[in-house]
Amino acid sequence: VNKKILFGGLLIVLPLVALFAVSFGNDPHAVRSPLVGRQAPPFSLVDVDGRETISLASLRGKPAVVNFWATWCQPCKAEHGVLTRGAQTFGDRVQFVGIVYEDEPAAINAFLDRYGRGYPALMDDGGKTAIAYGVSGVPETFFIDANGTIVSKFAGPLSPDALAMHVRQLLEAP
Amino acid sequence: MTTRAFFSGLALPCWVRMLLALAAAGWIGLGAVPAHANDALPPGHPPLPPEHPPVAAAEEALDPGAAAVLDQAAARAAQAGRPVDRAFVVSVVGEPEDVPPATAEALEEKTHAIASLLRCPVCQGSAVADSPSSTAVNMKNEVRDLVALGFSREQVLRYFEASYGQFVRMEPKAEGINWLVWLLPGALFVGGLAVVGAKLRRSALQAAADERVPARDELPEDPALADAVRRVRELAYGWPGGVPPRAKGEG
Repeated sequence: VNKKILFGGLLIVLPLVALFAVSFGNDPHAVRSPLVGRQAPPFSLVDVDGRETISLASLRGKPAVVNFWATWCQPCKAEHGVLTRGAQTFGDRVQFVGIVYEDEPAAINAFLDRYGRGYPALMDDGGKTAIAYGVSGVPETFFIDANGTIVSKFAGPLSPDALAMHVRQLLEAP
Repeated sequence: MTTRAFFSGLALPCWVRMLLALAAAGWIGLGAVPAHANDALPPGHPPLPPEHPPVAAAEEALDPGAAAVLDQAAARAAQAGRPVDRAFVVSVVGEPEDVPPATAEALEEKTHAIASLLRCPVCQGSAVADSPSSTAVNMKNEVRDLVALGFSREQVLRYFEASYGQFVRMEPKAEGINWLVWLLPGALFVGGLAVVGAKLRRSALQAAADERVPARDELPEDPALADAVRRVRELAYGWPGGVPPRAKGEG
């Protein structure tokens, strides 16, 4: 074997192998949100019926679970039940708010009629709130403490266990 | 799963992805794999919002006027939409450092330039400026609103980075390990040139050496080899001691 060629080949291949070894198993989409630990971006949004305006400031004083969802998102259907039950279970200590991402009021009302209305569904026309929260897909859920600080973020549909875990973490936050 | 989707599923530094994408697109000839963004998502990840039918993108690519129409539609949507929460943006990136563009054309030009530097989070590696997806349209409207308020290019990029992370920048900032992305390709190019240059020089020297025919009385420097050459000359030409006769006569 030509040692020069062997050495040159290893020089190229070994770093790549090391890189693959380190990177496999990591989910590149599970990038930690830069917002965790920071003040939640403020919002003031009207609910789907246009009757009530809910702002981040109005949520202050009580921890909040803010869920970005859409009717066209399949995982959101299963998650909707989890969140509705969560709102019943933790409702006295935590406020649940849904922000609808890229959707139409008619579709939202049909969805809520079918799957239940457990907590407000707010309209985010133009997606400005979703952009401020760095939402890149639905569902995504932010757990915000009583002072308005984002304690954690969950991308993907919440299971009952995951929701309970994050809410517990939220309630224990200083 | 496409090659591109496979590679984009790995947590690789972007320069490696860039090289892999280059290799896939240009050299192996697997370029332009029109996968829907959802195909590339790892299992369990939330689905992405629906995009406009691919026809729209194709038409846009064919007809340059279509892009302008799309921009106008986005502009109308922006006018109808809510205003930017200026106080919040200022709390993130500070007071506007630029003046708002004077004309609609200048605003549109600057918006497009900045949107080209922002990665569309629901697309596969394309910029906000190049994607017709509703998320990208929303982001572009946001850029337009911020530019209209006088925020500078760097401030707008910083605002998006604050919520999406550095991933949202199409060009990684030149700092820390990111320097590799900027310097390594150049270093590799220079190194490659050096290798090619050395090879060329060596083969040129070799060719020159091959062309030169040694004189009949010339002997190699190595004494053992010189002895062997003398013996061969003695046997082949019948020169006593392997010394050419004329040289002997002269000597």
